[in-house]
Amino acid sequence: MIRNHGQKFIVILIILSLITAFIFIYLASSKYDDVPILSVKHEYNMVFTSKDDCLDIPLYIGRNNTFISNYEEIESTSISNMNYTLISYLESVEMGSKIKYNNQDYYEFIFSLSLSSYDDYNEPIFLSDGLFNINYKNGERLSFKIGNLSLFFNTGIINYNDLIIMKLNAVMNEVDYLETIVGINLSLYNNTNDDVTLNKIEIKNKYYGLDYMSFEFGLIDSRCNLKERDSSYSYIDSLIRNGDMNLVIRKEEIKDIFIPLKYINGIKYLNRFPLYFTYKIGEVTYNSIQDDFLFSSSKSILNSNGIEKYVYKYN
Amino acid sequence: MRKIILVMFFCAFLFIISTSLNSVYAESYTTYESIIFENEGIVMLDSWSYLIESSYMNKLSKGKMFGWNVFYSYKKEPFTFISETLYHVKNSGLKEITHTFKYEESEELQIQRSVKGNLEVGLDYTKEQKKISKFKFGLESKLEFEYKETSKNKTTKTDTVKIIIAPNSELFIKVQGKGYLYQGVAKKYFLFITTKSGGFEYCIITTEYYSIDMTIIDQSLMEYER
Repeated sequence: MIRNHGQKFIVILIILSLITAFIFIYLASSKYDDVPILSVKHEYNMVFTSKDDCLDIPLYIGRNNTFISNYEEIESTSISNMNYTLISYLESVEMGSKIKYNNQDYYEFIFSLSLSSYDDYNEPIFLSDGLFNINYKNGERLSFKIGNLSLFFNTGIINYNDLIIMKLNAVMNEVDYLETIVGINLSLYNNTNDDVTLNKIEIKNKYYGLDYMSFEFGLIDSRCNLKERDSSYSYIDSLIRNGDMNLVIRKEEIKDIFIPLKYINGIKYLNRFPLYFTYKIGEVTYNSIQDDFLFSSSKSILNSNGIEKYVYKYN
Repeated sequence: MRKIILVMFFCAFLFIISTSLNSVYAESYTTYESIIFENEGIVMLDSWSYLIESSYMNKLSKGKMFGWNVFYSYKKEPFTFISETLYHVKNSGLKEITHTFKYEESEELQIQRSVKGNLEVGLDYTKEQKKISKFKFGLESKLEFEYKETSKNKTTKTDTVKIIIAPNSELFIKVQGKGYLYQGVAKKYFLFITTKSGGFEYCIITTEYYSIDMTIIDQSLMEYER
């Protein structure tokens, strides 16, 4: 009887010891849990019109209290690809919304980068498959895929007032399960004392462009499905255009046009870009830029198709 | 005996409270310029007649000892909307001006709620001390949300765009968008007695679209200039 009690006591003791050890191991390991991080591959089309303009890069981090998002812990940042490194200064890191993705909570952190070392004299920078690199004071270096960047530096663009945009909106369609821009409605006002001949309206990006030679007079419904309107319509095109629109806008006239937007290799999520105008007054050719306009904002940022998941493992 | 009378008084008090209040609380989606549903026949909560409300109430399952009974009249009804003007600048001068338009953090909530009767919506704070609105008295957890909002939504962090405003013109930055609507009625019971009762509605905004819309203020002035 006594022996039986002794055995029971030992068994209970072993079980309790195992439970205690398990709790200790769990607590110790949870302190150094892996941290999941999401980056979104995006199409960055920006014109830097002042030194205060920043490039905002969001990262979604599984915890809100790690060194990864701590401004004080960051030594330097850069954006690079195989051929080029963009010099940037980290202005701030701000926490945004908390979101859920694949049943995991993530905290949005917006890393605002200043590109103030670039000015008007800099050539435009096109950076495909860009990586956002963060060097930390603790010696860690993390890199995240952020998509393609098309960056223009022009603080003096607003001097060109010959053509004024009276109306601008995007026509958006769902293509390949992705709602993206497939055209723009544009009203242009001739603010000069002469006739203006509009020749080109471009985005200047190698993955998509405005099919300005196929422009139509008049504005269309921003919810118009271009494929339903014309079953032979294609959202994808090689988009090699050499011609000019030759659209004459008389003095103080307003012209309404719709211009389709075509993708070259495949559909991308696009919500913001500038417009580059080439036009003639008399025999003189001018170029002007409309600052990048945010056409749409999806409330579920992570609905876009280019999400990259990383896991940071504590040593 | 005295205890029984006290309990009866308490129950009667709860019943009076539950039936006497019939206010409507609505968040800003109800002030949109227009909301167009893909499917016809949907009446928004703030336009419910007594008949509509009572027909939905009749569809609620029978009372229970404790907790909520919920009936959805509509679930995930797609709609498009035209919101109020986000930005408005007037240039009465005869020369164009350059204006820097700032997209600021949106004050709009991604999930917006309305209630009728004595249901309530209240502000709560997340762990990060961000404001968030919720259906009160535990109704929030009884409702279906595809997406749980944990803080106020942001558009993009204070982002700017330079726009030239033509002479004698007004610039409007307008917002359109789309989302889903959920609507129904709910009752809360305590010892089979209704303590809370009314209609609820919430919409989830999924996308916003921005547009520049500039109009000439005085056409005659333009003609005079010519």
